[in-house]
Amino acid sequence: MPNPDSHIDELVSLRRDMLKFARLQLRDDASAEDAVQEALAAALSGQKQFNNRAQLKTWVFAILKNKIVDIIRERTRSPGTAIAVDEIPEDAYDDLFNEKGFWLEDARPSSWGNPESSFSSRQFWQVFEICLTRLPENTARVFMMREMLGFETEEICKELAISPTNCWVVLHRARMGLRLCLDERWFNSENRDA
Amino acid sequence: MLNCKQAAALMSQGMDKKLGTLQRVNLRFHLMMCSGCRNFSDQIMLLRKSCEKFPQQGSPIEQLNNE
Repeated sequence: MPNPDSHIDELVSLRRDMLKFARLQLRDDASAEDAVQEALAAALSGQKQFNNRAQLKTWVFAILKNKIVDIIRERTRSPGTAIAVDEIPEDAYDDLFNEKGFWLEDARPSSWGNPESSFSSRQFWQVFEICLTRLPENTARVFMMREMLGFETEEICKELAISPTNCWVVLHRARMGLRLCLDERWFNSENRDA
Repeated sequence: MLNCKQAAALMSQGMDKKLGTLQRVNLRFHLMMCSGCRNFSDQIMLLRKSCEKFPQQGSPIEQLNNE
């Protein structure tokens, strides 16, 4: 990609993807626009050269992630922003286990085979996104701060004014929900066509 | 001895902090005997891997709609 104009074309086509990602993380259109705008400006002012689209995308998303992290930090700096941590109730997944706490026969996780082969399927990512957006708002936010933006748990506790225990509880319930959703809608789904 | 519900919570916690020695021993012991929990462990690891890859996938829903 030696021609700077082709960079600009690429960035314009990336913009929509970035906006979608930023909206998912921030759940607020205005701050999502800001984050994307700033990330694009930073990307365009850089003199980096890229050999292919994937490299460019990786770099631009790294910048975008940093912008989103900045916005989240700024947003939670004001005191009294403790979030509700019980969006998914404590007993939400109790029906997966028997009274002794062992997996019930039909709820016991079965193998997903070679799950990474799904990474090349567009439908898989569509299902993944649906499952993410089906998580309750704050649960999704904590989960994505941890797994997509790379926050440490201590940092999440501090930013969101919740206790470490609550943080682990929220993360665990998010994983339970997401695992179940992917299991039902993709890995053990009969509608899967990949 | 851990049951599956406790094991699942520990596996999840283990992705966010270092577990204590006793917790790790108990978990390993449970996993040796429980294929369901071994699958669970693989699957929450896959969630992490998917999250790392997710931003690179752009907007699959919009892409589909635009085709």
